[in-house]
Amino acid sequence: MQSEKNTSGPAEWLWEAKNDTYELLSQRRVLIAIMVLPVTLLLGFILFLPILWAITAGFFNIHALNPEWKFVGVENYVSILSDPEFWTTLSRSVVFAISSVALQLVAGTGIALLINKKFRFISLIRGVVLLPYLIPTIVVAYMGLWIGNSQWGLINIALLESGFIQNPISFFGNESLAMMSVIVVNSWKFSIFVSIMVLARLQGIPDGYYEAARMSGANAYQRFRDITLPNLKSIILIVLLLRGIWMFNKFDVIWILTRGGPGDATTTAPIYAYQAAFSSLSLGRAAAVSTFLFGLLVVVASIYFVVFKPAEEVRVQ
Amino acid sequence: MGTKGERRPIRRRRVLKSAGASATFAILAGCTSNKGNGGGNKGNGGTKTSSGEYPNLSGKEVHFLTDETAEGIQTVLKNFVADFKSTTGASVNFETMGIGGTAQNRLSQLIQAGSPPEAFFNHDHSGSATLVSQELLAPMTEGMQAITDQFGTPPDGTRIKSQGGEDYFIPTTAFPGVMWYRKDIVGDVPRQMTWEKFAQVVEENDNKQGMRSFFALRGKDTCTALTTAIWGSSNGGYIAERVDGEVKAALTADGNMEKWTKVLEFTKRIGQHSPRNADAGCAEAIQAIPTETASISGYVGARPKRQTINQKKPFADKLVATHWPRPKGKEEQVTYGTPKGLVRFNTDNNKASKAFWNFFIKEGYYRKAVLAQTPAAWPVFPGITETDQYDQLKNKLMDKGWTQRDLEVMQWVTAHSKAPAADMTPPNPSIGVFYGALDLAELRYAVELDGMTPEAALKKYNQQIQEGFDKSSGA
Repeated sequence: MQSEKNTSGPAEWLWEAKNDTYELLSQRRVLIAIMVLPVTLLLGFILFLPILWAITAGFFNIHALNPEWKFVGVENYVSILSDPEFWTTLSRSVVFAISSVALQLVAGTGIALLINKKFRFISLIRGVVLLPYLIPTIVVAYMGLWIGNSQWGLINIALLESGFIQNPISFFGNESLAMMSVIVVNSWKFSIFVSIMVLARLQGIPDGYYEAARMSGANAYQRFRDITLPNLKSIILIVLLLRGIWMFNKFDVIWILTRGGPGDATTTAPIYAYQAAFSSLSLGRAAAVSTFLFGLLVVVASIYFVVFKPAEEVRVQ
Repeated sequence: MGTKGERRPIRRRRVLKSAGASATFAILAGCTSNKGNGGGNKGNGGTKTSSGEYPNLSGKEVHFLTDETAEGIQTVLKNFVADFKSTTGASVNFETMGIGGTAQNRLSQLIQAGSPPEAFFNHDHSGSATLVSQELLAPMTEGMQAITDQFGTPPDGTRIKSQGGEDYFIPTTAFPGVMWYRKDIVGDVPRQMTWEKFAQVVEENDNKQGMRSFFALRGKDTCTALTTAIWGSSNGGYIAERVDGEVKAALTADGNMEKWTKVLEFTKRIGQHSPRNADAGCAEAIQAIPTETASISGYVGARPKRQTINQKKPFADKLVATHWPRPKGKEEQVTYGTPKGLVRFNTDNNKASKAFWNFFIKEGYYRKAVLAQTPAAWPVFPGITETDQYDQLKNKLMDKGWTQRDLEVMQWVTAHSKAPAADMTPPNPSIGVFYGALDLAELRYAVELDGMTPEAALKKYNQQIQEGFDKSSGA
């Protein structure tokens, strides 16, 4: 065998080497390593290292403008967990996240159902409807800020000119309106994310289901309840998880619109963490807040997976 | 306070400082320096220009930060950097950051990485007081002396000095608190008004030509906090005091609480003649006059006037500046929007950073940079306004709609104000924390729009300010 190889010439040798390489690459473990390792390394640098850094920093007293770290054990955690303001901001985060997800889910699903219909110019309309998701969040926030401004915002001008109101409404400056206004602006863009997901699923439901239901005498509501909704269940569960986590951690839109005000009416936990880092200049405390929020989300997500079993829902499809 | 001066340099972890790279760079820098436009004579030890002598800094790098993004100032800084590089052979890593909190965040990154920059153009006074308290800044006494020799003495309230007498901050410009009036609606008003006179003007001119007479700020915003501080200081009210060496919130301190109570009662009184703008901050205060929302608007600086001119409003030349109103008999200095200035960090590259700012000052770039910001912000050194270049600028401004009075008011208020951190000596290192938290903005909102009594609000927010100071104890 050895002697045969030696006498077979360079072309044969190259051919064998090529085959060996293919064989090696075809092995399950090698293929997995090739596919997963680069991403794992990348994630390690941009995700796991910062997480580790934040967890570690939570045990130190770190002035943002001083490179010296002083170990303080769990002092930062004791400090934030005994701070009533932290619990208030946490409850606001929950309110913000639940309300935002609910609004986005309802609006996003509604929009998807509308643009799933077949009528003239539907492709154009779909493009226009999905446009807000392409606008950078910061631009959306500034647009919301100026549209809702109490002095020269479009909404106030329209309401004042049409006589519906006598005095301008301060959407972002009124304690009882600010949280709701922030949720609405935030949901304007992110409802479209839900629409995209739901629309994709809707287009996968065979028309035959609806035809059979119609022939059986089912009305529109019954068709929605018995065909559309069960088919959307898996998407809704995924959207609930993703949007819930993202909304709980939302910072940019709230910061641009209200900076956590008026008073502290829209100060959520991420804003509390940011203020700890860059207003109070206490990086250790901010890291402790972030780590606590991270742990909380991991626990909630785990409960979610156990209770709702979204993986099973997806497999059913 | 940074009394240790240059004795405690921060170790840098620059990976690229290999010997080979340095040597190569030194050769390259040396070559390029001969092509420069510095016009100096190079000796073995350094370079002489007509204004000063500078060391040979081949192989050295100066990391230079600024958050000034305006075209005029950027041009001055770019020319300066090119000139400095060609004269000294140093390389300069010139980094411009966005405005807002970006500079603070970037500085924090660099300091945490053990690699602070060498120099920062127009760092704010409050943040600089914090940096000095952390012993991160190097003295600028020599540079301060050079500018003082040229342009006179700056107001005490703009300086940051150690107990040993070293200057750590060279102010460039400040944002004085100025009240802007539509003369065509309000009529002529004196340059300095008492609170009573001001209230009378506001009350008599409300709803004229369909606009409110006054634009009050109550949004959770820096300008609300700053203008509230100005109102407070106009009555002698202060925010914090040093007790046994520690900074303590002082809104409810004996005597001070009464002053602040009167301030809040007064702002509530005149606020009745403002749009009910619970969301108004800097942007709204700037636009209140050009959009004809109100006929009087207070602001830290001249942006209301500039915007009115830029938007080509027919009443631009009728918009006049006046000192911030004070109660009768009060002569206290009012507070600025924080002054800005030059700082250099205490690194192992101190020789280069010192030469960097000396070059900036002696070669005329300081004056150019300051005038490039005028009149948006106003020069802190009085002698700047006695230069030919200022006269040229003044003529241009007056052609556009500025009045002699506007310029005189800006100059007077700048000379008679103090930085927020200058309430105490040495300057309050926690004032940036306080302004970052916007507690004064919340205080104003609580009293004017949320129905809280001044006393109750002062107690609540004094506690909140104190908690902010406590949480920021840091390393």
